[in-house]
Amino acid sequence: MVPGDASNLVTQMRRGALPYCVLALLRDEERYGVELVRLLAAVDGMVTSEGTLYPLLSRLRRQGLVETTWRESTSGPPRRYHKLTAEGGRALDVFAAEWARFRDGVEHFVGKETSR
Amino acid sequence: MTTTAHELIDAYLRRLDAAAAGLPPARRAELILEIREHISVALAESPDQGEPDVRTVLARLGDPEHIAREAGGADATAAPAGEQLSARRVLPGLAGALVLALLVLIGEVVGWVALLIAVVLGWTLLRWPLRQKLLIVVIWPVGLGLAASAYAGGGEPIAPVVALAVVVGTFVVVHMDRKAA
Repeated sequence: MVPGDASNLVTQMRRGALPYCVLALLRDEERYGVELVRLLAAVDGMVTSEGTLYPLLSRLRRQGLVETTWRESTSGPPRRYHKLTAEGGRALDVFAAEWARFRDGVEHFVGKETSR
Repeated sequence: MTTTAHELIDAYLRRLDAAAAGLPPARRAELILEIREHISVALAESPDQGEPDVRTVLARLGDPEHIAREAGGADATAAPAGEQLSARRVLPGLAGALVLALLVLIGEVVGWVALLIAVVLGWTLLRWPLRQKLLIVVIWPVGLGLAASAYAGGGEPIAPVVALAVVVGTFVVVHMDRKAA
């Protein structure tokens, strides 16, 4: 293994986990694109550029995990709000459980180095 | 908004449109529309919608080429998965050869049963699109049936040639179909 592998792997893991972070942001609340994008970008290391979130949202819609409705706004143009579907909720629950197991498992081994 | 601000946005969207040329038309239009919406909403929420704000919004969106790649990337990586399964690609040929051997060596009834099994196995195991799977179900029974009747009619040298042509033909047709897709 070379050091470059690790950053590549992190990129791949982020790509894999990001859709579920979007679903999680929609768990209790409907949100519009700019809002979603800003919330994700505010957390370090989650997205490299805001624009790449839109292809992801489009994919989630096509997969039936998310649906959208238009709403008027008091300031500026109407917003396209994203909402979790029942299937999206199930997908999120499954991932959340698997993720907790995976995270704890990796942490059990890898986390020891840093906690010394 | 100033003229420069408008020009900046137009130039950005043109770059995105060009970069997304490889996407299916509906997806390309959807992407442009959503980025356009993002820009207008993000600007509406900015303090003064001037040129500096436009530059900031576009910079945060990132490279149009990067966005277009992301839009095409996830589907592009899904396609080659079937290509990697070389064993699965050989399978139809092996099944065809087996059917041919049974038809010629053992007899018609066993041959037809083998053909049925081969078609069912091919249908369930192969990760091909539905259209290509239909080719198997049509080409194999018809072609191998012809080969069998040619054999039964005493045309022994013809039967293996027809059967071989069917197996090879399946590959050629599926391969061409894939290239076209």
